[in-house]
Amino acid sequence: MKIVKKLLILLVIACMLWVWPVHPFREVESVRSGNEGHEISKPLQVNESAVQYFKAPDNNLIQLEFVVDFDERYPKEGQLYFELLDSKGEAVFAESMDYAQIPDYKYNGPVINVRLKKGRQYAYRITNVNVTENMPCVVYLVKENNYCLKKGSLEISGEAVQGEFLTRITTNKPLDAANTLAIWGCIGMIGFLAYEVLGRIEKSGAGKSAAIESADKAQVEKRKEE
Amino acid sequence: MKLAKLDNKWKNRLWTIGLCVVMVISVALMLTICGDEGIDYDESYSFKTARDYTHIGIVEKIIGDFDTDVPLYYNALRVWILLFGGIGHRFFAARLFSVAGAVASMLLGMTVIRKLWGNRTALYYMIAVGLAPAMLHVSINIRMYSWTNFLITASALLAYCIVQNPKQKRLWFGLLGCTVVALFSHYFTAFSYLPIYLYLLVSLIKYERKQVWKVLVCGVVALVPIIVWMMVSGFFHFVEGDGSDVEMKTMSIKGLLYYIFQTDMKFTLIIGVIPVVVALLGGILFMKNREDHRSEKGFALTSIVSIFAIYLLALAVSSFASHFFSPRHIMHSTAVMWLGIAIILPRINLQTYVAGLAVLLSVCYANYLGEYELAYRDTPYLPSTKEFIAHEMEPGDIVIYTSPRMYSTLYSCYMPEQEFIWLKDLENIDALAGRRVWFFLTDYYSYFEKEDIETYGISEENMGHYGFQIMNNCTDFDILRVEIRGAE
Repeated sequence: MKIVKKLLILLVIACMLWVWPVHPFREVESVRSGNEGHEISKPLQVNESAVQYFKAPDNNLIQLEFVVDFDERYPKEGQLYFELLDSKGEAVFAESMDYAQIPDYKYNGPVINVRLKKGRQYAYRITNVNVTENMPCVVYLVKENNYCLKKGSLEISGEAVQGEFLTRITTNKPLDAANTLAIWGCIGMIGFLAYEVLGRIEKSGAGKSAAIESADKAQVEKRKEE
Repeated sequence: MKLAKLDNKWKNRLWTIGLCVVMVISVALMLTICGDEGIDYDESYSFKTARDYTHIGIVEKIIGDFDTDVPLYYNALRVWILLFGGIGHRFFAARLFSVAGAVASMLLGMTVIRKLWGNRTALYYMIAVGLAPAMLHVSINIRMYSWTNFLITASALLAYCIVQNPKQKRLWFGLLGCTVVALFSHYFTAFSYLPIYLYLLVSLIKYERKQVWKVLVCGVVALVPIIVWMMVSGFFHFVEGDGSDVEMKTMSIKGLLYYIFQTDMKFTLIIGVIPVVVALLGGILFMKNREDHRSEKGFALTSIVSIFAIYLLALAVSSFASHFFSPRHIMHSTAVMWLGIAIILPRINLQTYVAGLAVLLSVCYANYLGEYELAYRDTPYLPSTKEFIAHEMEPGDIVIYTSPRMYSTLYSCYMPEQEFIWLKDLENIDALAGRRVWFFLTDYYSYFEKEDIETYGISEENMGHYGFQIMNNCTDFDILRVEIRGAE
């Protein structure tokens, strides 16, 4: 029984460690730029790009979306190229996007699903590959508040711009400390209740065997006397 | 020996300080939410009834409203507002009345519960009653639920004390008083009393059969006035005041559990239910009555189970009687449920208690953040609306609105000097000619008929988007300044 009790404690500890720091439970969270104070840049010419620097809000990046503007009345064709760059400027993720599929003035972007290092500097770059007519313009936020990309900076066509490329970042973030503590507590409650049950079983088992032993002894002594 | 005594004394003092700190922190957190000026419809009903009517007028209004409500809470709130109405913003004093109910419940923890079951039980109970989901909400909501929770908990404790000492008359009178006051504060408390009286009856049959008659007398004496009230107020009605059929609502057990345990946490329901299940199992398996405590185990288990038994009972009643089945109507025994858990957890073992405390603290933390955000996020228009009313509107102005008819109660809490007319009730548009008229436009399909606009020469100017708080998506609106020239 003692081994079972020790195994139970180990199981409780293992479950707790599984909840944190392994983080099997995560929550999808989206943050996006604010609604007010939008500006529209000049059209991005062929081979020109917009680069938005940002600090990774979390480790698991699911999706990164941005907003571009163009004239809806005219047809559009060609490709935009999306790249997610690390602090050394190397592409962590890249995808060619069909310009015709991109909606006007709405968040849109590739599903990324890459692991980043929380708090590290990253950037994403949108390049006009071959759009020659009805070219995309970058929609960016000039209001000082509501930045979703903290301490980020923006470059459009090689020039630094004061603002934030309208961005929506979706991450798969681990549970916060309170939620982790609550789950730990629940595991602990169940574990310690089970531990107590085992303890009682052990006690009652020991009690019974002691009673049987004493009864046996009494019988032996009685026979001796006889 | 002397040293041990001194240690215990100091330990006790430290526990007292600790419990006081819990009380102060809980109240401080409640007050941070009380600063919010957004109220929901039910709160506006409480506030307006208590503010605008005399004590007899309150009773008449409640009967006249054809609602299955009871008047005592409104009378008490009126007295409270008369005494403390000057504190803070217009709803602050009314919110404080609910906070006072929560403080009363916590004081039970510091005194009676501590004396009966010790410091650990008191600590767990006080945190839960102050800050757990549902409990924190009712502590700042201008309704009767914080007080009914106090009264039900006090009654349960009195019942427990009666079982220990059935010959003490003051305990019986205390129970009778609490029962009557609670029944006249909210009719659904009757359900909460059923398990309490049942516990009392069974325990006395077991321990002191000669005293059983007192339970019956006490129950009947408490029930008579409320039954009379129910008959006078038409409790079991099958049509609404306007003649329409009563909508029979129902609620899943999941809905109730969400109401009692929900926070923004992941697995919120499981996290809420586990302490209940662990406490129930622990109570059944390990708890034994102390030598000088009769029916202690029965009391703890009944306390936990009662809210779920009440749910089943209310479910049965709502299938044939009038009035709405909503989680808050059956939450009067929530504090008692926490008390049951608080009694059992320390008696399983220290580790389980500590783990339970960790769960409770984290749930309370998440609940407070959620409640705070809910309070202040839902009132984005309020400051600008208040400013608009102060600068643009005058006493006696007419306000026509299209949101649900009953919302005039809500609006008039913020605008007591204006007159509200529901658009569909407006029969004589010509009578408004030349008067200062405003229109709360909640959607663009509800406005004067085109015919009326031409006949009465109606023109309008949009003054912008305003609102009091977001509730069912219809308490924010465009305010139109309307000019009615009248039929030529």
